[in-house]
Amino acid sequence: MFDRRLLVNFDGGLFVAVFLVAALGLLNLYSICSSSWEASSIYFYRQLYWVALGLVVIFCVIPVNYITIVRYSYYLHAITLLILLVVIFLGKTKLGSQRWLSLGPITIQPSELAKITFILALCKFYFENSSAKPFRLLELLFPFSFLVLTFSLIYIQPDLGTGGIIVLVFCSLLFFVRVDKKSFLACGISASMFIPLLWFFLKDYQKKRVLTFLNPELDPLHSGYQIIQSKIAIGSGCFWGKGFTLGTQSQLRFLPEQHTDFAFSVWGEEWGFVGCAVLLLLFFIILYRGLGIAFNSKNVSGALLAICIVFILFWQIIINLGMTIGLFPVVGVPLPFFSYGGSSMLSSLFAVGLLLNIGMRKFKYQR
Amino acid sequence: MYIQSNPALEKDLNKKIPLAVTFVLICGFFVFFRLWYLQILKGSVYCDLSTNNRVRITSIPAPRGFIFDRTGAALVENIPSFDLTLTPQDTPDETGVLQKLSLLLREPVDVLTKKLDQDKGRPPFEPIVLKQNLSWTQMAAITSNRIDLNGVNIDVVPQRTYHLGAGSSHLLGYLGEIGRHELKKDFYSDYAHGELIGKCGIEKWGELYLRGEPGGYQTEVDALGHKKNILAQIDPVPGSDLFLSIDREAQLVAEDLLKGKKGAVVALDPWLGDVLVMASSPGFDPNLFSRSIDADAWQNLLRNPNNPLMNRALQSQQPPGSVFKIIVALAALEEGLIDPQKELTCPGSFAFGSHVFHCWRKGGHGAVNLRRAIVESWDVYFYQLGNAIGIHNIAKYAAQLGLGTKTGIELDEEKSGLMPTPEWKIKRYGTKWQRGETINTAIGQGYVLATPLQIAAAFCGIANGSFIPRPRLVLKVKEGAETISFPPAKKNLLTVTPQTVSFIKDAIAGAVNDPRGTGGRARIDGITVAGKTGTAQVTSLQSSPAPGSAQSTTNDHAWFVAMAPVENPRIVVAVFIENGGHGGSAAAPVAKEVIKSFLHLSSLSTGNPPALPEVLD
Repeated sequence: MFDRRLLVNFDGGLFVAVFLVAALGLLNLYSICSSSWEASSIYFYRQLYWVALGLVVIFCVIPVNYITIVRYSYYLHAITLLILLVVIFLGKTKLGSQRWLSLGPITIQPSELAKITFILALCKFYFENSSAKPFRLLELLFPFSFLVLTFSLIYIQPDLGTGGIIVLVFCSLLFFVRVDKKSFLACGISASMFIPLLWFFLKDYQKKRVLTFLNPELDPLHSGYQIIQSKIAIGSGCFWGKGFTLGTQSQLRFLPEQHTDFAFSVWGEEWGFVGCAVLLLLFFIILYRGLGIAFNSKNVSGALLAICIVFILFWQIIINLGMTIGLFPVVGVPLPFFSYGGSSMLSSLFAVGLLLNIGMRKFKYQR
Repeated sequence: MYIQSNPALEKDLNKKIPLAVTFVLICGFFVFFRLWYLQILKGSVYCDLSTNNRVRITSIPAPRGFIFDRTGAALVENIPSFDLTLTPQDTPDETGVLQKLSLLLREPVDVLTKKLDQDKGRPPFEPIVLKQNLSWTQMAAITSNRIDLNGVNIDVVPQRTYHLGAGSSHLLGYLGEIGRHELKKDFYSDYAHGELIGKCGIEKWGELYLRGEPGGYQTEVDALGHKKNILAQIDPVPGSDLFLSIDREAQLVAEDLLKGKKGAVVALDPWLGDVLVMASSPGFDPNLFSRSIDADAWQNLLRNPNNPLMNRALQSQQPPGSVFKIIVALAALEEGLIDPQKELTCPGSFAFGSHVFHCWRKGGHGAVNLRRAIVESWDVYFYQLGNAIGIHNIAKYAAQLGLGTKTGIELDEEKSGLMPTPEWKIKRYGTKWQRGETINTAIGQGYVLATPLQIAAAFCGIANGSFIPRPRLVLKVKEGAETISFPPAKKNLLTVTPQTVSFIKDAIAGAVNDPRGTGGRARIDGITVAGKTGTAQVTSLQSSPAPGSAQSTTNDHAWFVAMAPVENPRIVVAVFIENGGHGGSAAAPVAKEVIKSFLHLSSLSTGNPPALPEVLD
């Protein structure tokens, strides 16, 4: 059932880069936990456990041909949407959001799952419906309604970050599937008209985040606090950083959300410009390898899926980094493989598993 | 179906994927250069910001230096005081704790609540002082109920304690919180808000020495302000001790005798200028100021018509009265304008122009020479003498003896007094000097004003015969093992011949010891005291009688200046009693007791006071 020849095309570089980032993330988490604040070392061990579990997930995903997974993606996504609905009614409240679902001892974040099943379903649609002619506007109505449905359910959680990511991925994919130029233009114009309306859909705290992003000094003690402290942390790292476990901004808790959304700020403080550059390079390797897999895949569905996965990772990385260095407003998007969080780690590693899967089956007529 | 090909899409993808790589790369560079900007270009700025974030500097005040008298007896010390504090952060049930405290301290709850509310708005981890100076019973009550009092603590704070009374309060000064205008001055540039500084007297003069160097520690705090650990600590350097020239025993005697009166006593060592006694009354309790004084008590001091904040020893400028006759006599002798043996008659009054100057004794003294005129304080003699030698000669010697200028004592609140001259009058009033004013000046009335300290300093010149010493309050400062000494200094040199000096000394010794002398009440068995009485008339310019004042404000001011022993003077005492009446009766006995105390003569003169002639100077 498992073809050993597949291993020839296993992308070792991608795999190593991903686990290097995860290892650096664990190192970072260890430093955060080292401050004698509370019994927070539990985060480190949990993350270790998630990474190990993610490894298992990767090796479970690899043997199954991704085409099979894509084939059943509508069902998978339907199940995920159902879970999202359940969460809305039964979810566990955390940090003011209801995005957690308690399953015995572990809590999972179904929106992370929805991200993956959404791109799978999207790929299925584009693949099945693409022909020699480009897509027309009306033909895109189905995936668009698809997006609206998924986004709404995620938005209600509320998880604006993940919702935003799927919108971005959806838009990114439009560049790659062939879309009629007029339709594309119409899409673009209507979308840009829709953006100002978005403001009214934002919750108060989200509006505040946008405003304080534009001017952090507006409210330096509350909404602007995170951006200011994060910039101070990263900036004060200078070239070599303050050293492992020696970051004052993080150890003394000036940094908010430091093991999740602002993990990179801790890294930047303790390892400096050098550490940041290394991490950036690793992320670039991951994305580059992912696009390489898409490029080399002789199967359109594989290429599209690989592109989706790369862009899902790319948008998360760029939004998270942009947020910590003050280029974007604060959005709750974790840094893939690096931030603490089981659901994010598992879904990201699952996505990597899919990428490896596509890479191994790059030839058209392979089983 | 899944393996079918779509060549158009495939071709398209192969074109677009390299574009995607470029896009990712560009975004990556954006992040990279942003990091470069934050960490390399602005790195030091953010480094400072992160340091400011986490480091707090807490100052540790240095124990203030002590103040000792010339014999080494402590005048001012620090004594531990116990303060009750509450840290809001550690007190979950604030109202409950306050209620318990009010029971234990026997104080109304709202007093404590008010204290707490005053300091609201400070970080919750900073303790708030609820009550200062706990008594032992209160301390015991608090410590035994510690368990129920979360966040309540007792802090030990050194408290300034003054061992002298109110009469010395002006001399020693008091402490107060540094004011806004003071913080702007260079001298106080390294002072912090709320720091206690010397506000007047020696406490102010010695601020530089007494303060020491405050220490401090740098603590690392977290985002909530909790102290995490101490990064560095600098121990405070205790303030230096001051050794004053004051003689504690004599000072206490003077204080005691001034109680209930308005006035001042100054005693100087005539050779060194050491200030042996400097007392002023009424005063205040300097211990009131050791911690923050409450507004009511302060207002009472400010509004008190008796002006208890004024150091009368060097701020009370008064006509010296007959004490001034010594200077007139000195001027006349030095200028050779009088034969001391020549007798002038005193008919009881002296008509000059349209004005008639009276002698204090109706009917006059008959004919007397200079010595007797001094001994019996004979006004008409001095009217004539003053008229004969003129204001310029008087002013010349008065200036030589230091009148009209500050003595140069350490305390800068000193007033300069006034020695009038015709030039001064033109400048001040634009009118010509009248000869009648010379006559008035000759008996120490009119424009002439002097402080008790100036009078004492002037008499030091007569005691030593050659110079006016600059009064010296601080003998030395002990900074750890090092000692800074302040040498004595001369303010003015005198051009007076020894004959003149001995003549005057003999005359004022007569004023105390001759049967008809006006200063008989200062007589001490065993040594020869020399002194001159003075009674300054209270002019109509004086304010209306203040309610509740011990002395009627219409009484004359009493002066007495003495030196002892006259053969080799060791102490010069000036006593000034506001509205005290006659110098001989109100001021002379004070001088006598101060001299006795300083020379340790208390055992020698326990007998009855000498029989006195009817003296009314």
